[in-house]
Amino acid sequence: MIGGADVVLEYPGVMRASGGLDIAVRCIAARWPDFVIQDAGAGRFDSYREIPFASLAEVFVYRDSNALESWRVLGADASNANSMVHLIADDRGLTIVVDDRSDPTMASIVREIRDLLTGSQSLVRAA
Amino acid sequence: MTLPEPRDRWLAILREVNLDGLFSAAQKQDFLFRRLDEFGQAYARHVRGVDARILPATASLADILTEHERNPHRVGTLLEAVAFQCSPDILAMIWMTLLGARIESLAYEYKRAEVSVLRATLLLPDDQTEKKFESSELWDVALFRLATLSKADDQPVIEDFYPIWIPPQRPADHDLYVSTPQGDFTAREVAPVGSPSPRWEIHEVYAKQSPRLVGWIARQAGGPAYEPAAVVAPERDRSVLERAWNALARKFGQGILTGLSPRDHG
Repeated sequence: MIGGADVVLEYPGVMRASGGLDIAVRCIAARWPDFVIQDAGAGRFDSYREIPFASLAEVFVYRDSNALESWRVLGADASNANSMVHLIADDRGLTIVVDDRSDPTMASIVREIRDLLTGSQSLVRAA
Repeated sequence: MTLPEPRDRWLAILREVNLDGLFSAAQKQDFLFRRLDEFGQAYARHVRGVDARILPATASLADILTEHERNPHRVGTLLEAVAFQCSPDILAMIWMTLLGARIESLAYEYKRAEVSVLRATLLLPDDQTEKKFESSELWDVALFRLATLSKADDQPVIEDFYPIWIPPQRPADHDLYVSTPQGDFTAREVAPVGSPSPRWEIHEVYAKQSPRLVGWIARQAGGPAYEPAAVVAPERDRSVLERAWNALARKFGQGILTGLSPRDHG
């Protein structure tokens, strides 16, 4: 990443890793309708329905296939800033890695994922 | 009717979301699988004519098991919705959402002793097809308990559904239990029968959440070997395992972790 920032959202024992990833990917997909996902083994998913979250612990969500291609060619180049979100999940929490948390889109994505994950915990605790 | 085949699989899935106690009686199991069957029929009716690349055409018991392998949390959500006695049509609406449809609108109208009407509109993943649902079944209002909420740029969004925490009805299966200021842990002997080398599975126990598998401690000649369960960033769990090991050794003595039967130590 280009000077990336990590945001760690914890949900120990409340949520599965697959659920944390699913919620985060769904949220990002709502912002980036042409999103493309790569898993840690470089497997590619072009649609939400294809993704087997239970077998993933780490994914890269690209804004679109052009962003994926640009990252493949240029890597962490400044021109690729804020066109990809890196997600790492386990059963304790989700780590969101973005280039610049002050970028409006990134800030909005992080805020919404935090709402979704911590909001779910509130429901869980109230039950 | 009792649990269908593969029975062990369904039992394990129910146990995952702590619904095994609720659905332990044959009568309750009959309700569960009858409702899942009705849900499958309602789902097929609602997606009739929709391209199978957008949403699958069926939601049979076999389809649910397949989805559980890929996305177990979605099946947990569906089973909780059944446990709340949601109607087959609303179960279909929840399942379509879990598979990628977007909730465009949700409305609920209530008048005491007269009216309870839930209306929902979904936008399917093709971003074109709308599906409308309406129910006057009061129990369907339970879907709000499963909704994931957020404020996207300060605007309301109900993104999806997710299972809520249901407390287990049975105590955790363990051989040893230890409470420490940093957390409570259970240990279970998981070495194969007759093995000379003890191997302990360690869980962190929470008051209102399900226990979390921290990892394993194997007793070896050079001392304990810690195997964190976490694939990503295992260092945290390694230190938790060390802490659990020390607390267990203090409470039960080194012998308990080096080969004596747990039953000898109660």
